[in-house]
Amino acid sequence: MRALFTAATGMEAQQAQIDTIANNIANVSTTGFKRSRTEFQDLFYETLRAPGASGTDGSMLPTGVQVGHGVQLAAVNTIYSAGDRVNTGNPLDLAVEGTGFFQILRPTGETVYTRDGTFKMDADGNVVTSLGYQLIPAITVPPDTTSLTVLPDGTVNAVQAGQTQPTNLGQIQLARFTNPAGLRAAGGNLLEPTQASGDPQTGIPQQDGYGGISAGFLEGSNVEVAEELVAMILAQRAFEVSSRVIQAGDEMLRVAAQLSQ
Amino acid sequence: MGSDAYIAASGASTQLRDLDVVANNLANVGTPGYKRSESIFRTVYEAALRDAEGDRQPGAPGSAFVRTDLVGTDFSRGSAQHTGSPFHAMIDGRGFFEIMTKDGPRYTRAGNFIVNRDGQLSTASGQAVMGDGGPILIGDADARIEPSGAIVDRTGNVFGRLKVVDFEDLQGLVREGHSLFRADEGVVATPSVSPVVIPGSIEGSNVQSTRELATLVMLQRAFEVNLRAMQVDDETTQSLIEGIR
Repeated sequence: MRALFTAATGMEAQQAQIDTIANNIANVSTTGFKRSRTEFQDLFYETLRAPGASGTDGSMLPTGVQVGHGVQLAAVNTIYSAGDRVNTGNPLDLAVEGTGFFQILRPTGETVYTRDGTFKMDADGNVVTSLGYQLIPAITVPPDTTSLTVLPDGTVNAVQAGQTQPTNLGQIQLARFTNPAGLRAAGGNLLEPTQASGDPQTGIPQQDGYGGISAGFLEGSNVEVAEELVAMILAQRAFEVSSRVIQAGDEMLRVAAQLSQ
Repeated sequence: MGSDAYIAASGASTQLRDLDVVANNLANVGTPGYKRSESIFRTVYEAALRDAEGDRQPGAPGSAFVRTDLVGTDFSRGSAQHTGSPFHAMIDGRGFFEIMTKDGPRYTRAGNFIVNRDGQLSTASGQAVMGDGGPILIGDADARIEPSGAIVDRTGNVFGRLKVVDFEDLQGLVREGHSLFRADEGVVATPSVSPVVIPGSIEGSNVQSTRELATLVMLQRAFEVNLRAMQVDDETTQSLIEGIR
């Protein structure tokens, strides 16, 4: 009775699918959130009879008998399609138009990456994330700044009190990865590099394929609610049909057990 | 028990096997590129009905045993699912993508590809997808798959073209799991001359749950009938024994 375990793998897979969908929907209005997608593959097969073997009457069989063991979760991929732009008017709200991640310094010293460009200033004028982590390269805004502009190439300019010409405070750099789907989500909209993602390459916005920076805009979540709801209905039905197999298997075993009574 | 009981038992064990097949199909209702398995039953004639040379006697009464001799693959097309990913593709028509594994070439209809850390186009489990000239190296370029199967970036650089192969006899493909098929010995892959792919989409599973559920209900009832036949045969034998006493 392999069928019971096979059907169980189907139910587990659909449960993982529902978990992923739930997280996507929960993050429908999270800035810079990238939706995940579960990837399934069939499990290994047991070959009960190889193709080309002789049949009972000596004829050669065109196909064998292969019975599968169900389904497995191959990967949960992050889809890095762009989210909608949300206009906020705040000069330190930044969105990357195209490829690239902002580089953030964690208090523990390692560099992490994000698409969430909700930057703020701390008490010392440093440009930091909502969690207070510093942007890399560090940019410090002088206290007497009257207006702040971030140009599409990442240059940060400040006009100080009593001056007409802006002062250059630095240039924001972006990072990219060969396989961004291999980045590990660390929560707090932050991503950590892994073996699978490859090493980060850094560059200047609008050059060598890096995206430009839009100041005054934030990148919304790329979750499409309608799409997620359709996926949820499909997952729920798929879960049900596998549970139906378990029920059928159970009833067949019951009938067989009654026979021997 | 008479031979009737054995005939019924052969039917019942076949239905148990078929339940395994249906369970695997339904478990893979959401697996990209999955092709459903189909049990093909054959009746196997009792040897006693054959003459000394082993040939079946013409017009001999058919006391038929049944067993699953074959589990074929239904290679009909699954529905297209739009994903919008630049590295996803579905083959429009016949053929398979060629995947390089450590055990040699394998074939799949699942076009949910990604770029791995080495910058190669690969399957979800990291095996290289073959192009016309070997693995396709994309690096971190902002490229996408075109309907011709070519992988190009915005400035028109071509990184390679997806290799699509076809087989004359599809039943010569052996399932390996991981959405891959292996060509059996002597089965030759012929490259498709001008394949067409649908970019940004993947081929869904071709399992239709209603059809599988209908099979499930039928095999469940057939199983019950076969067991009932065994029971009746048992009761008949018992009453015969009691009659002798």
